[in-house]
Amino acid sequence: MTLTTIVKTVFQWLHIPQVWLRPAIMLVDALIVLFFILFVVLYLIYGLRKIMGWIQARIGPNRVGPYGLAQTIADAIKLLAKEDIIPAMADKWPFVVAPIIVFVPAYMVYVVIPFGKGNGWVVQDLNIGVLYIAAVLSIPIIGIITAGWASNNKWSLLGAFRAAAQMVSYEIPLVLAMIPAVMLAGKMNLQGIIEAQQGVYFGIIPKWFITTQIVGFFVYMCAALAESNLTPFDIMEAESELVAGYNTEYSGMKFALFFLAEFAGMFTISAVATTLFLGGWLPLHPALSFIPPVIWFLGKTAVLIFILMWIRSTLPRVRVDQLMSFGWKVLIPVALLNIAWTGLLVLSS
Amino acid sequence: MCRPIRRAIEYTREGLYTIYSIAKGHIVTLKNLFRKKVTIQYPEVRWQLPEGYRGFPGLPVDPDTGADLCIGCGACARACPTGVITVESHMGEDKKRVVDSFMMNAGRCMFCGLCSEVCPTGALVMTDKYELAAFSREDLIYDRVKLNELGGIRQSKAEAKETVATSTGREDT
Repeated sequence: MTLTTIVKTVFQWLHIPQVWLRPAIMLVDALIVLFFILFVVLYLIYGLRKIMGWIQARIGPNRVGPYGLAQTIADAIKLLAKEDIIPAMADKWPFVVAPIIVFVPAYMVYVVIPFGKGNGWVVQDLNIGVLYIAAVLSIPIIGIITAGWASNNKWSLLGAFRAAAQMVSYEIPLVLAMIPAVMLAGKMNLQGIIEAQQGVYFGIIPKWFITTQIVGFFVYMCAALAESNLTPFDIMEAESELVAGYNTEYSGMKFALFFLAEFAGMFTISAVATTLFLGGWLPLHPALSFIPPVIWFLGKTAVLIFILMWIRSTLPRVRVDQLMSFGWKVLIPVALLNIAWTGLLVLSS
Repeated sequence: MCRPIRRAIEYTREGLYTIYSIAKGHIVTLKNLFRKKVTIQYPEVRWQLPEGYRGFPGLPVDPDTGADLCIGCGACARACPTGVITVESHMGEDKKRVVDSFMMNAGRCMFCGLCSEVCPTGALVMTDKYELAAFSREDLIYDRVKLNELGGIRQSKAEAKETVATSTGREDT
């Protein structure tokens, strides 16, 4: 709301016709989200390197800036300054488009993420929020296959094929794990789902969906790890087998886009898990509501991101056949049983 | 008849064991997260060298005479497996060898310490110098002056002989 008034006053001041008001607000929104993503990704990379370093009894980046805080900025500048190579035998047009196809959906998801209470904290509170997330998260795979195919490199192609198999089989448990939250809340709107988690059991335990959906939460986290190709499900870029998988031939800014999309995805899956299972911006207990909702949301997301990084630095990569059998034989049946259990819960209430 | 039940129990137990072992692994990494870091901030903080550390060999100078104890016997050159050392000497008037040149090629040295072990006077010792980077191969060839610099100053002749005896295990004095 305040953003709209700011843009309006600027328009009146500069005597710009009112027709441009709505596009201008959209552009400002988009830029805010873009800068938010860039900031988050910069410090996610820094955080990952620090946490992995500590777990391996190292210090991690500490040279550029105080405590190494400017390390990722230096890396980004290095990537920008690098030569942008397109291999001679590559299919040029798809090769250039692929990183954009991967990055844009990762950026689009942020449209519906509710960072705080009310409409001021979400770009567009869609009434089909959960469906939108599921739909948008399934687009990057097209970009990954395009990248693998266009590179004309066997490692890239193998990585892309693995990615296709993995994404197709893990999208199903991901969406199946999201369904119970929708069933319990009775709506697909993310703010509505958060509001449905208000209240406490016995005056202590918060009525977040994780209390009844602990299984669904685990299924969601497993599937989300695979969906955003994080270790232990990173077989599509498996350094030790496939050099770098689908982005073997990429360098400079195009590689940076893949990297950006991966870390933006890490934040997205944590933010969606927070919304669907951990009560979004709701405080742990109504007595703690003096802390602003944004802090609660970002704090819960940060805890989940730490857990993802912790998993990443602990578990080895799974085998291709293990990955497929885990997805189809464990996650999908468990997710379906969980939906049945949620159905019973909804009926009984 | 009860085979499917047994299978189901086994399957569940395996699943639970998987969860248990994954949790155990995570506890190990979490403990490491709070452990003291092993990284040494090298140029600012330096490693505490252990006793008997083998750096590049050097020829320490005796404080009394201002020269090292090399007698030009060439035992080190013969002992060296990679041919690092070249000693040139001639017989002097008083039937003592005079060392013309003593060269060591640090580019070839593998820091095995055989040269310092065979040295009969204990002139050649393993120093604790390990920062030997140079801009050219020629810079890696150390002559007697540079080796004296590298070796620093030794305590005294008698003490040196004692250390030779103890370090090589020989009782030859």
